Amino acid sequence: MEQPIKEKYLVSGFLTLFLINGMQVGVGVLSFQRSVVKTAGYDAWISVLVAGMVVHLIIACMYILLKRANGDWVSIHQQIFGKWIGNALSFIICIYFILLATTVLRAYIEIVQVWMFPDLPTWSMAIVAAIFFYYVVAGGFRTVVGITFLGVIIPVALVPILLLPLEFANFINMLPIWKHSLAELAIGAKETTLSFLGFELLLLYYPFLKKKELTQKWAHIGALLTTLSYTILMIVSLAFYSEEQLNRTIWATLTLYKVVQLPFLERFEYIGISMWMFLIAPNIALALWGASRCAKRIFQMSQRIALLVSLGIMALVSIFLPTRQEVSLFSDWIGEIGFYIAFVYVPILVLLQTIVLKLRRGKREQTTSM
Amino acid sequence: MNRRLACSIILMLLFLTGCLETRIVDEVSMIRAAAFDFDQERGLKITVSFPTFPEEAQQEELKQGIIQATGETTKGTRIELNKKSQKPIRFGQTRLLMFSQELAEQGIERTVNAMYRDPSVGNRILLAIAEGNDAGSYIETDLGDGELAGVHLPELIEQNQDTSILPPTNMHEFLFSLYNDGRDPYLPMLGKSSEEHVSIIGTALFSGETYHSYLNLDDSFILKMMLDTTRQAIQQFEVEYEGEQSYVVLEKLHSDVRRNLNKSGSVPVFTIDITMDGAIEDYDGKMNLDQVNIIEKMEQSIEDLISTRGEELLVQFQQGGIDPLGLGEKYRSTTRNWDSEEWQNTLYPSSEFQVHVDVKIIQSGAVE
Amino acid sequence: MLGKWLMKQLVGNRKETLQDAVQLFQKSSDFVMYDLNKEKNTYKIAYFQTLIDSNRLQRDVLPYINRSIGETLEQLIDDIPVQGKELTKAPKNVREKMMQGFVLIYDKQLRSQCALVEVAMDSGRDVAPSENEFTVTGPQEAFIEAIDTNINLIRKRLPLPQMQVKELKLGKLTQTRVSILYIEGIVDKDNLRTVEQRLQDIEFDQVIDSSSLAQMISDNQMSIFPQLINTQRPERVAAAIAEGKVAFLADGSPEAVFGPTTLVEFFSSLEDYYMPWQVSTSVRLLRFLAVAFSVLATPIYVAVLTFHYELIPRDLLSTIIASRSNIPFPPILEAIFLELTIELLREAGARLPTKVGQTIGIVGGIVIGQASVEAGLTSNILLIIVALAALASFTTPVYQMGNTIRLIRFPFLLAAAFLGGVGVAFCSLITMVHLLNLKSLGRPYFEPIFPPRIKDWKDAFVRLPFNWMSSRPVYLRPRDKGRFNFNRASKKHDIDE
Repeated sequence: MEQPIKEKYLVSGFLTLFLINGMQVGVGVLSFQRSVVKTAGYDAWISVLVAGMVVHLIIACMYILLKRANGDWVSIHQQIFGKWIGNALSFIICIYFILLATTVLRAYIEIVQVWMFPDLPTWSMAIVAAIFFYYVVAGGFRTVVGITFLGVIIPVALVPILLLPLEFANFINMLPIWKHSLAELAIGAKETTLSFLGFELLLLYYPFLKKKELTQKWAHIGALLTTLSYTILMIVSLAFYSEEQLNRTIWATLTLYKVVQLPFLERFEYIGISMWMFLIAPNIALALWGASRCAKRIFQMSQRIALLVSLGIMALVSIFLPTRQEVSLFSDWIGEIGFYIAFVYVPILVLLQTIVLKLRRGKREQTTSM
Repeated sequence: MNRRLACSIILMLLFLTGCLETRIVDEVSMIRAAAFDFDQERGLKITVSFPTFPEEAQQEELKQGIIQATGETTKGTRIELNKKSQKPIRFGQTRLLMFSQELAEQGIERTVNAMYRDPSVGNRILLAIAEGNDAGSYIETDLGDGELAGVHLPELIEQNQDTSILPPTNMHEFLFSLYNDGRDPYLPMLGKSSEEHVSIIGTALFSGETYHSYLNLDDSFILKMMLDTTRQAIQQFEVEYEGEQSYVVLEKLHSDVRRNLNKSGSVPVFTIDITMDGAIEDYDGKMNLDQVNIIEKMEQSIEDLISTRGEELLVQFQQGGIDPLGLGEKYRSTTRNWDSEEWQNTLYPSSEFQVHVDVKIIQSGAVE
Repeated sequence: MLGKWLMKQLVGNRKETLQDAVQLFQKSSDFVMYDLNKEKNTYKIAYFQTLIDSNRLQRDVLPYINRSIGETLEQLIDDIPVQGKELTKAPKNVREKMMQGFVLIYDKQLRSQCALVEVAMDSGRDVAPSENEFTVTGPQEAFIEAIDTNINLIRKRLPLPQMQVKELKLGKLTQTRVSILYIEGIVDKDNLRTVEQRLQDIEFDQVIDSSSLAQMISDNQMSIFPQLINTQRPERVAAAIAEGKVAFLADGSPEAVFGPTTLVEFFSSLEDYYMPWQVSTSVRLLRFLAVAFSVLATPIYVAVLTFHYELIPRDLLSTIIASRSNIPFPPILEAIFLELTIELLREAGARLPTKVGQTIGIVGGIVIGQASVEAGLTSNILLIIVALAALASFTTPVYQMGNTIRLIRFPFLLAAAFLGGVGVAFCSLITMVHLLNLKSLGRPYFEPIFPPRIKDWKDAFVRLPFNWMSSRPVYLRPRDKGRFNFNRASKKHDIDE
């Protein structure tokens, strides 16, 4: 349908692993425990595992969609709904990605404000971030993938440090396993989705992968790594905190870091927050790239201008969210929208696509038989 | 293009955030220890200790600065403290929070929580209870020789926790137990001897957030052994042999503990199995330690001592309605329909306890 | 209007004659011209006194002209036993050759044809050990200013006809000879074409040194990072072109430039290959550590002391506060003051003769440092950190890279002073994105980190034993990928056989 992407802009297939994982792990990790524990209690880790499994199913769905359409989300929409409705839906996706980037940015700014610089003005960080992400995304998809790759590799150093709080672990908390009902676990699983979101971007960068048909296993490995690391983090947190204590702790992961003490470092969370920038940069960069790419495909416009517009929206929205309540409300909304887009809308798309393809084939057969 | 952009970002940073409030190390008063007391008029009195460097001092000499303020809330009192301080007060390097027994009897959750809420305060800071009603005086103690109470006190507590005489705890563990429906917190307890000398006198037990009672050092050691594994401890025991009392000091004490719960009967039965080994460091009796059966007797004697005292303590906890051992937690882990009310009101008071101790003395020093 | 004037001189008008050229020469007072009488003909002989070797003229040229019995200029030339000689009609050629030390011989009447004989004065220095890129072991010789000698040094190491040289003339005023060196069959055609094309496209009137050429053909001239490696060591160039890289030399410059390169390569020294691989691997890792330390140490100090006092280990706290208690400046000013002092010392040391430079180092290091601590201007802990960071930056084997590292510390410092740890992390992020965007001759500069190519790690952060390096680096896209047959080389023999 469309002309293929030039060879020199493609990236190796195995980088899908980093794209999936790097986009999923972000600012949500710092605080996802509380919302899950509220419903699933000490069985929260099961909820996380369940959510991870569902992510795998959705990734499989996406590959079905992509292989059939051999294009990206925009072309899938056009294939199913025709040009106008398809583009309108793609536009919603585009807005969603901008807002997803905004949530991540605003949440990070909030963490910096709460933990390090209470007097840091939001607007200055937002503007600086906008300039920075222009620089990143203007470097093209390869640069965005590069920053994603580094954003996965460098923070790996933070993972073993998360095991140090096990000094105070009390694994007895989690016994007996499976105290909560399936419904509670399912609600808990839904609560984790904001921290799993981002993998749906696969539907946009798929045409940029080399040997794309073979990348599915990498995508699954990437998602598996996310699920595993979330589960381990959840187990560590559950062993570390008592239930009520966890309910009172907003950024449970950061508070975990707080207890880490090294001979040359009294407190670790400040290093953790600073290094977290490497984790969230890929989130924002990829989402912005996706949004601008989407806009380019819909409106046939220059991606640079689309990017500038997206950056403007991102900066403005994050400036107009001054309080903690608004930020968390906003990110809850986005989490909800993201949940419906990734976990409900994508399977529906698969069904619709099957129907549309069947109908078309039927028509073609009719025409050929006539 | 790229570099220019990068430069402009840096410049933006410069201009936009150039007015952030700094916290330069030598321009803040870093609180090392803080004491919380009950104040008759306003409710809370905070005494803080921080190191100062007198400007005119020739040598880089540390002095202890002390400020006291009263207020209704922790944050409010902090503001009062700031009004009295030459440099802004910062709690980021605090290592010890002390509460007077009087304040602790009214509950300390609010105060500890205020500290937990402050991101700059560490999670590992020590909490301690000061005997009497004036924790501030502990911090004001003049130790002489340039020793600062703000450094001395936390190290005193830490050292004793490391050598396993006291059950270890810190702010995180205190809150963990406090917000746990099957466990009650405990804290080290400090006291003053007649010559104004600060020392550790035992472990303060809590019922929820309020001070309940305290255990002396020997009982604290038994509590510690029932709670957790012990490494490299040293402790003196009183042994009895053929009607003769003597004292033996065991070092390199290593102990392990297993807690079992038997729910098959009408009441829950908790069995605490302690295995312990150690080496004789000092002995003032007349027996020849070379004889195998004498060592065995000695082991037997220590075992009896610990298990009887342990069981006594458990009953004492039960009667007081406190659970520093986390037996409720143990019970919770074996049941699918946990109800903390039921545990508090019916199950725990009816529980039975058994303490089994297995002592092994592996050597008796280098000298026969 | 230099440009226009230049254009006129270079294109030359069609009507220009030899006569015009000679007239132009005569304006210089070092130009000599005299008659040479032969039986049948009188020749004119002309040259620049300062450009030719008069001994050779007396010994190798003039006697043969006198003895010659040829009647025409052609015959005359044949009798001169000098290698570089030619007959020409083009005045432009005459002009250029004369400036390179040729002697012009022509008929008195100055008919269209004239002869040029090479008697250039050889005024270069001898091949000597390298001073800037010193190694303890391994070959010591370094390039000199004469390009032919330099190519000779390389050719001696790669005696095969496939090593080819392409010569260009660059710089409209300087007319510098620039030679591109590569090995046919290994080098990637694209890389070669890129270098050639970019060199040809240079529009600059003078070529002072090959390092300035390197800057002119860099992919991103705005970048602070060098994108091509300069070296004074022939064996390094030989090793590079044997890997499939393209090198070029400029006449009058004792440095060769080669590429494409990666960031990591700037931290490898040739000595890494002369020592056992375990040693060189540890040394390399040490260098990377040194770079990280050099860039981050002072900024982290500033960030921690300005904003994150919570991070300081409790046992160090009193020491740090005590060392800072008498200092009136905020940490950032203190750090900048010290960093500038170190930079001053380095610059002064580099500009002064070696012996004086050493003295300056000692005076600066000990006296200034000690005095500023005693005067209460800086804290002694910072002094240690800054001195170590400066020392660490000197471990970088490539000089240009060392400068870069010292310079990028300053933005980090400022960011640390304004945003603490977040600022430092942000600066690192910008640097990384910049490195990701950067290309060297169109090949990714950040390889093998990104794009991640495990195959190239064998000689990047570590240096594995030689029998593991059976293939040439992937990023160069060499036409011949293998260095040797890995299977044959790694065949195991049974015990006692």
